[in-house]
Amino acid sequence: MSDDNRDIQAIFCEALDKGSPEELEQFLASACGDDSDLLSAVEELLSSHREAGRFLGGGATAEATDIRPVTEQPGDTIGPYKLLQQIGEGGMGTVFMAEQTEPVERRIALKIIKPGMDTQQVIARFEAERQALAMMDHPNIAKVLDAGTTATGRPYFVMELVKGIPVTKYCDQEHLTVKERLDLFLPICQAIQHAHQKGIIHRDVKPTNILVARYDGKPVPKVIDFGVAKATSHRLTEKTMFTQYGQIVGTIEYMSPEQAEFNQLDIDTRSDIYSLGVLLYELLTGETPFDKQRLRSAAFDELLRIIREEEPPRPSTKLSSSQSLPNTAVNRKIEPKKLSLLVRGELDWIVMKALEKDRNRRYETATSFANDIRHYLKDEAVEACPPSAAYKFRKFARRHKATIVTAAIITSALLIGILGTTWQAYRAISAEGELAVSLTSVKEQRDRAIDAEALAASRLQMAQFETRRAEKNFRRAREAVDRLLTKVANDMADQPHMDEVRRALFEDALEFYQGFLEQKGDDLAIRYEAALAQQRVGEIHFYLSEIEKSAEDYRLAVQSFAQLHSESPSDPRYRESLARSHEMYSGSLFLLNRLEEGETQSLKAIQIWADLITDHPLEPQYREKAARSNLQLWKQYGSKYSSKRVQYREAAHEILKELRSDFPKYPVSQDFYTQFPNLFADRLRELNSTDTNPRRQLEILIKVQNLPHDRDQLRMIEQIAFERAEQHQQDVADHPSAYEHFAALDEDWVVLTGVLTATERWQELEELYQRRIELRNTSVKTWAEMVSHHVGLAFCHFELGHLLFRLDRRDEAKAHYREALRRFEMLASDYPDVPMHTMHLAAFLVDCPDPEFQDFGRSVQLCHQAFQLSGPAWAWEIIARANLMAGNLDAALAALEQARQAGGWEPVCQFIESQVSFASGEYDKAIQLYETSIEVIDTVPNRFWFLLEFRYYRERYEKTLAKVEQSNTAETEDSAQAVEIEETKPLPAPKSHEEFETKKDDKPMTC
Amino acid sequence: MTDVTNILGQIEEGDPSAAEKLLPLVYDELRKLATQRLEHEKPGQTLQATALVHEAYLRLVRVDQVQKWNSRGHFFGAAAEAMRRILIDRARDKKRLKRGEEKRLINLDSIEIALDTPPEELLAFNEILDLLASEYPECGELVKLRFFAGLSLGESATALGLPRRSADRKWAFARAWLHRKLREGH
Repeated sequence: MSDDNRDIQAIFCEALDKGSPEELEQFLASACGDDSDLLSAVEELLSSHREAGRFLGGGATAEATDIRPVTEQPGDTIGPYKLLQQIGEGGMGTVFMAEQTEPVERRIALKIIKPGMDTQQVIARFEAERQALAMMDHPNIAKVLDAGTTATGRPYFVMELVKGIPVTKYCDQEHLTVKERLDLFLPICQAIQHAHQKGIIHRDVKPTNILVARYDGKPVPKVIDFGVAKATSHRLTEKTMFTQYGQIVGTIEYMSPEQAEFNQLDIDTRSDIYSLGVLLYELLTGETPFDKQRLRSAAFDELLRIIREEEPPRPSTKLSSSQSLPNTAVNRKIEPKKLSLLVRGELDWIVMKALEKDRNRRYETATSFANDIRHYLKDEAVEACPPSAAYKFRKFARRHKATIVTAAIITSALLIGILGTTWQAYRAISAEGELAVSLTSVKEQRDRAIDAEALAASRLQMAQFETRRAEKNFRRAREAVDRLLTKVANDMADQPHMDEVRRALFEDALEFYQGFLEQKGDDLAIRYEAALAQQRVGEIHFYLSEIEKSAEDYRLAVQSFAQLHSESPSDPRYRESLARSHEMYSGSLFLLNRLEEGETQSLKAIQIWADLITDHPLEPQYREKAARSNLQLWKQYGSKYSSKRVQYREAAHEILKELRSDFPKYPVSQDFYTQFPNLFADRLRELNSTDTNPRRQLEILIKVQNLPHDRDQLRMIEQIAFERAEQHQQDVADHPSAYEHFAALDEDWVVLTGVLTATERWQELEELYQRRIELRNTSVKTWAEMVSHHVGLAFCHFELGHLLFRLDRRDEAKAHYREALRRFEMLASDYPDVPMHTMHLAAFLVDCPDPEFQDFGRSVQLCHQAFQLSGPAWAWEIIARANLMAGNLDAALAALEQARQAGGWEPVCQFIESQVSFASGEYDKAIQLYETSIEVIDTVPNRFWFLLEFRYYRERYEKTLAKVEQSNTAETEDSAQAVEIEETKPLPAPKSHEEFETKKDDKPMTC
Repeated sequence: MTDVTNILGQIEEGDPSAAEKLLPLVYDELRKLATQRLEHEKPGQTLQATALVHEAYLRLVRVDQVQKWNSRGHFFGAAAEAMRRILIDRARDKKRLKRGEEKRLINLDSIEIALDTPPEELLAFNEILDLLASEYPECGELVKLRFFAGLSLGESATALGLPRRSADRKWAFARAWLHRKLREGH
């Protein structure tokens, strides 16, 4: 490069700065001196510079280099407008309050766009939309009146003057509550909707474009700048996104993913929905979804990527992780903790639906967005969430706070299981995975009920609501109500406190179904629906204990299905329904003591299933249904005809075995496993060998509450459970009132308890129990009204007592037993009509090895009291053991027989019988029974819940038996006597393995 | 595959040979992108240098590791050169095939700044640009970045490590210079 060249460039550049021609001339003369070539070269370039125009996309001044401020001043006149004062300045322009004199006298807002825009294009684009803009007429929209060009060549817009402040600022300044903010947000949606209907997309919805002013003392939001964004932002979508980087950053937080495309021109109304979503997000949390600082510091393409791809945190998550939460909460007149709790759930869903990356998944319109917020405000189901039954129940519960208080007690009772303590309820529940899920939600729902504002009406409107929502056609309506009934009502059907809620719910549903039946027509599909409805009516009558009526309903349903089946015999749907209605009819008949008729109905069902199996050999579900049908019949017979029922149970067993061998992968319902432990053991072995993912294994094990015998597997499980517990402990520490963390930690600790017991690490076990008790002591305070926590605490004390007793620290054990007893007593007397609590007490009085606490007579009495002389197998087992302990051996054997007839697990029955035999001196029989029973028991993986107790009893009993055997061998009567004296009382058996019967399938809980 | 991010790292550390490795990679990627784009998209779909280059950047560079504009500048420098070659190759092909059968070619006519420019003009422009680059290297780079990689002035300034004001002036100078040469038919 020559010096010349450098000179030319330098001179040229400096010349660019010269304002006037004279100045330039003077400069060139002095810079070039007498070098005329140089002078002419520079002059030519300068003239090229002036001529170049749009060559190569234009000069530097076409971009944002021109940073001269708007020079217009108050007092200046622009067209017919006289500027009065500057009222705002933003990234895009400067806003003045101005006065218009012609044609009308009024004050308006005048926005002068900053340099960097092509004025002509801006105005042209504005003109293109002017007509549409003129058609907008909405109280929440500030009208854009005019656009033009200033004397300095800049575009300006004239709009209705709004003396307000940005909506976010207003809300914080006035400390509006969340509800008030939502109320204010609704008209904003309406305004946007109005514009959309006129074909106008705002494109730049953000707080500074939504001003709130008070009219008649009420805050009224006004959306400003309609049309402006479109006119000015066109180029933002193309190359100049880069050049105007600085300018758009101000609004990028509100930009939709499709607006953040390099190449997009395809913006529609749903971009505004997204921006509304961001606005709502900010109104709730005080922050935008993506951190402003982060966006500002990100490289441009990174920034676009964030908007296009990153899933923003949910508002509640944002809140709980926000540093400024206290302040945010104060601005919303609420405690910090409650704020995130309030936002969690529906508001999260609503906001996240608006913020979907895929605009097809956002709200279709601003109105549907607003409607969903209204649903939320009215405690109705929101669209934003897939309407799971649990969620709907939550909603329902909030509207019926009065009744839910009682319902909560039941819920809590059921929740015992979920909390992972040890009793039969847990097994009942875990048999129904789905139920467990819905119950967890029930707990959440109850939390929310506390915050609910209005006391609910006494009538339950859920069914009607469901009906209304789905009134478009019968099927959907019926299904909606069905869903509600099955998922919500049936799950709680056997809980006494639920009666009130349930009855009201059913009565409403009944009304619905009966209305439905009146409308039936000739169409096959409609008749099918009608038959289903008839069956439902029967179920409802059944639940309302109007058994006669239910039997009649079922009879009619059977008739209708049979008719349908005969008309189209090949449709398996009709056959299935027919079989099902036979089963239900049978259930009612049995309750009415019309046993033979009942059996006939059941056999018809069983026959249909058998036919279906023949016709569809590859459909495993028919086999499962056949098994279930047999099992149901067996259960219905209960203890009344023991000889008959056995064959049905056997049949069910056979079908299941076949099913398992023909379809090894078919997920047989878990309640079968509890019914047939051998099948279960097989299944578990299989899982252990096929499913190598330890975490998955752990989950399965937790679900079925068993631990493998295998040491390596135990170690693996321990490690996973330990890691999880660490994490959950941290979570609990961070969010002490978040129920899910508590439940998760408790679950982990229950698993660890099982592992430590199985591996006999007593000291660690003791420490773990202490921690569990500590956690429980906190939880009974945090969730004082939840019975499950009290039950859980009682069991922790009980079990720790066992441990200490076993370690021969009897005095320490006593303290824990005493506390456990106190709590069991309290629960039994507080909830006399929840059998489970009474049974806990009864079991304690038998199971406690410390004689100070034993009271067998009372235990038997309690069992009878709880079940009024009928009851599930495990209740009879307690009675048997109590009698055994009290020395009433005949009564013990009788109770054992009852237990067997009620379906008690044979090995456990044998175990108890062995003890009875021992007590009556039949040692050989005792040993034989013991060996048979323990052989089976050992094939089944360790159940968490009876591990400690059972081990303890078993060890002691084995010792005793061993001594007897020795003495038998020695044939010394005396020593055998001595043994007997030493162990005066036979040891109690473990708690039954049997299910606390899953109630849905065998409503008549007769024994 | 050699990783562009690593190369950028080597350039950062002052490895002079690294820059040479960068160009072919960027070139391949851009070429691939351009071809794909035009094959898979609807007729009439425009193709923008900006979009292409930025997309190539996102694809080739691990953005989280390269936040500094310095190395981004190297990338865009290479991208501009790559785009230039693609465009010029394309223009030459087009000229050569003027009477040949209409083979499916990368339709770079729609590449933004380029350019409604007919091939002859593009080739001529390229020659003049070479001249400019030989006399005023920084101006040449600047024009390449703007013209072929579609960078804004601000970005080009940063990529070249120039103060913004001086980039503006160089741009004005380059434009005037090129304009004059083109008008003269040099």
